[in-house]
Amino acid sequence: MNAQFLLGKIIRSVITLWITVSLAFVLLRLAGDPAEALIPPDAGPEVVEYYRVKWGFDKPIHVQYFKYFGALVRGDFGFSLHTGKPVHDIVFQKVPNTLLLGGTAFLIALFVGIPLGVLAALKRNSLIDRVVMSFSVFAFAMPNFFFGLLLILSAAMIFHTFVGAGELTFWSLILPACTLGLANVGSLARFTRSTVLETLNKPFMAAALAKGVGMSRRIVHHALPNAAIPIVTLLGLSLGGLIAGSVVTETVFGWPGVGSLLIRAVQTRDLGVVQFIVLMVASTMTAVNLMVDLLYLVIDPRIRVK
Amino acid sequence: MENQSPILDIKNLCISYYTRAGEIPAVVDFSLEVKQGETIGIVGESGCGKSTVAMAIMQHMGANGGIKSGSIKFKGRDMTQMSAEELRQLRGSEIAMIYQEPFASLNPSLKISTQLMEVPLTHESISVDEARQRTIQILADVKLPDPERILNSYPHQLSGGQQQRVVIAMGLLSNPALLLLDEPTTALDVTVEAGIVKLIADISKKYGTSQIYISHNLGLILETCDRVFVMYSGEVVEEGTIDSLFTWPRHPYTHGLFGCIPLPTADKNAAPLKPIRGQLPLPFERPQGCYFGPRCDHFVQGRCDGEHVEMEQIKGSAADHRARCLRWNEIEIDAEIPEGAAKAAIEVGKRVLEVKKMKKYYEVVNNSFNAIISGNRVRQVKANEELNFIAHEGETVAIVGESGCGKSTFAKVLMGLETGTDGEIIHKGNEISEIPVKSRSSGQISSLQMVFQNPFDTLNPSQTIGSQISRVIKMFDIEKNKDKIYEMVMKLLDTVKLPRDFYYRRPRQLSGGQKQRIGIARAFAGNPSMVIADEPVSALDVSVAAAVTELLMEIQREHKTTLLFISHDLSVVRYLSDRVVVMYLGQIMERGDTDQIFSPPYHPYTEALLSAVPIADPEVNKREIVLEGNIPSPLNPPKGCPFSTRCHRRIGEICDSQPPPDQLAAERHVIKCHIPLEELEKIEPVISIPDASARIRKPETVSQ
Ligand SMILES: Nc1ncnc2c1ncn2[C@@H]1O[C@H](COP(=O)(O)OP(=O)(O)OP(=O)(O)O)[C@@H](O)[C@H]1O
Ligand code: SF4
Ligand code: SF4
Ligand SMILES: [Mg+2]
Repeated sequence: MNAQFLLGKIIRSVITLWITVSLAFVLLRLAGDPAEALIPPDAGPEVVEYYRVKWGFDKPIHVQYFKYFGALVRGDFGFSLHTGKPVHDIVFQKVPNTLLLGGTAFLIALFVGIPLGVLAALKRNSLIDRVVMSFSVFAFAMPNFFFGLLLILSAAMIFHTFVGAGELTFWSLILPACTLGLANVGSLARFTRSTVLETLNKPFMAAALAKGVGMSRRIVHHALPNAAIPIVTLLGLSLGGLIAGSVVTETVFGWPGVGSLLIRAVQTRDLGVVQFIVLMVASTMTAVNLMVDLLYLVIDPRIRVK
Repeated sequence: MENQSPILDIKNLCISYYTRAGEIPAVVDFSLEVKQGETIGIVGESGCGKSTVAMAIMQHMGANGGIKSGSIKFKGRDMTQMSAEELRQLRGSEIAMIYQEPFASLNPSLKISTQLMEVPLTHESISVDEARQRTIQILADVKLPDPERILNSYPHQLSGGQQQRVVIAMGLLSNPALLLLDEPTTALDVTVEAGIVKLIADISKKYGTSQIYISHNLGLILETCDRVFVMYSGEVVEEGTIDSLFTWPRHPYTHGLFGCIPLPTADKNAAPLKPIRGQLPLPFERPQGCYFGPRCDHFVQGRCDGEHVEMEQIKGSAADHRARCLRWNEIEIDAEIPEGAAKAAIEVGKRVLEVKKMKKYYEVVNNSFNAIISGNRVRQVKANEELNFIAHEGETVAIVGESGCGKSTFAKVLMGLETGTDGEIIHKGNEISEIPVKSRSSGQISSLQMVFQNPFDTLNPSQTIGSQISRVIKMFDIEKNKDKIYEMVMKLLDTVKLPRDFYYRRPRQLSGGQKQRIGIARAFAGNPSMVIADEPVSALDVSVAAAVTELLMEIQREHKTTLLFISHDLSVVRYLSDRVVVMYLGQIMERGDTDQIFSPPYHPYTEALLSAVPIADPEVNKREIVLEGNIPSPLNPPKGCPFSTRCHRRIGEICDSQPPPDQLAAERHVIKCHIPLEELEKIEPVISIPDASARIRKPETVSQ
């Protein structure tokens, strides 16, 4: 890997970020006048006008745009139109909850998906393989919210508890985390299976066998490091899916995270909050992608040493 | 030796692969014995089942293969009955295998040290330090300099030759009783191959290792083995000692193989190659009776297509010479001339191509931190450095050299796929080195055509053969009328000896040799004045390669085309070329008429190259020259003579520091070397051939 490559990646990330945020900015403003949506309908037009001027919605869009970016550069992310508090305060308050949910879901995907995939590859064409594969197709095809609702209902029936009231308990965490993790378990298991199978068929695996290396060492030391490279890529990509999925899942389960906040902010047209969440999500995604690239350096010696 | 029990004893082994299309009997009724210290060769064309046998001995047939019947006894114990753990203990310690592709059999994510040390660590209870000592020792044995550095490297940091040495070291680490080698040198350059072959022989002699050496190259088998098994379509058709089988081959297939390879005695006009017609049958299309029947010149209806033919002892030859032919005793193989009928030489006409001081440099941008910091980012690869030569009408000019010598770069510049950096290429009076193919007229393009190494890559899989050739004719503006184009395609198919109904076939329905014929038909569609053939037969089997080579020569003869034949194989080059250009690291080391190149004075590199090419003729004497080291990277060539890092005749400091001069040995024979011509003239010939008529004869000493 070389400096230019890395620099190129960073520049591309920044551009992606800029385009996403700008797009969100423009779209949000084209979707109608936020002042009208925010002010109670019984308020007179002068009130609406007052707030429009106060929030700057009366200015041409490019003026608003430059003002917004100017503020961004200075580290001023804006205020919630609703509460008047700084948006980052509002959002960061919810971030730990979302991280908790996303992280748990990610770990579930990791520790269930990868072993299942490896197992299916090793027991290729056996019953285990078929069960794992059917499960992964099912998990992949199932819409997030639907599975979430199923879980809520089953939990309610079996344990006579109702999750989704917004409190933070083990159950209120584990159900949405499973929901969120499930889709990723499916795709991860399938992908792991195919990469491991491909690696197992490589000549160097036959060579390892010819050396008399035992089965477990062949898999752990010889096959998995090679299979890891594409899997890490997929993990990076699936983080994106996780974030998108968390919006739906949090809403279904009433989990007090950034996803729920986003939905609420969109409903109430709290532009500042929406804008900030978009910025944050986009930054996370590009950072994850960069990290995946850096991770290659660690696991693939062909890139590392030149 | 007589009473010793064999290390490996295979009896009536049948191996099948099971696919969706059904069972594929890949190997049928295979028997073989390997004694202590013996080297057995298995030779045969692609798909005949060589690798399958090796994998069966390793007891690793992949997901869909299986041994149907028969036994494989290793030191008296039947391996087909062993448990997985017993097999694991044998593998790597008693039986080791070296696979076809060295690079592929090294794990790209593990350091060489891990991959090597794991062998003793798995099989013996020794400490990591001891294992490391042992590995260092073995790396020295396989002549790898600087073992510590190698141990700390990853596979991709080593050259092909170094990788192959590592793989061999891996096989020898536990001092196995039996070493299986499946085409261990196929991916290597000839001079590197020669070094590896010698290494394997030395080491196995030192440790008394028995070997099974698999190859498609009869010459290599001759140089490495004691006994040889010739396989054809899943079975052994002839076996014997090297001496008996090479001097007195009894099976028509074995005999046919010898007719397909250009031995130093072959000559394209007086004694052309005689290809075996047809091709290897697929395992499920094997004919009744003798599998070789449809391709055999001695086939007799009612006999050869009856019962399946058994192996039979050859009376009058060495005790263990056997062949699978009903008529071995009746047919007079010796009486007929092994080569095809003589043809008239073509006259060489006017000058078609002149290359003057042609240079092609590539710029390589290095983006590593180091390079950026030191400001050394752009480096030049001198792919071609001052090439000079001339080709005439009807002449065959061979460009020989090993990987990275710039052969293909030169072809690309000629074709206009790249433009030259400096110098001139004059083709039929026009300077073309700076005209990319896009700016060439259709006449210029059609008169300079190319046949590629890999026929598989150059055909469009979704179009019929007919439409692909028609398109070429239209593109070259040769003909516009549809019916006439159709006629021309038919004629071209006749020319390349393919049935006319191939017009409607698609590439995937063709064999490799047939695809290459289509490649030739396309190249000759515009009646070119010059055709560049870049290793046109190196991807093909010997019997098919011979047919394609002969076809190419025949069309050339008819059309008086200039043929620029690019190859690394000196025996083919000697056989078909009129002039030879020997290249090394982008420079021409020697050029001259074929006779001049193949006899002293030689350039030291030509000399080494000649010695490196295996010759499948036990009566040809060859002086052994083994080069040390690997071909340097073209990014970082030696300062003086490009060959100086490996030259066995290096005369001193001057070779390292000063580019050698072009010395004129005779008219149009130029040698680039510091050694004075008088000295070079004193060098003995590398190859000496006794008497051509005595090539295939009955062994004088008959033991029964
Ligand atoms: N895994 C497989 N499944 C089905 N058929 C196979 C398989 N491997 C090999 N075969 C078939 O078995 C036959 C013997 O193959 P094998 O690889 O042993 O040939 P080979 O002599 O080693 O050829 P090469 O010189 O190309 O290496 C061929 O017809 C091949 O197509
Ligand atoms: S048995 Fe018949 S067909 Fe087969 S090789 Fe002998 S002569 Fe030819
Ligand atoms: S110049 Fe020196 S190094 Fe080069 S070929 Fe001649 S003797 Fe060998
Ligand atoms: Mg093979």
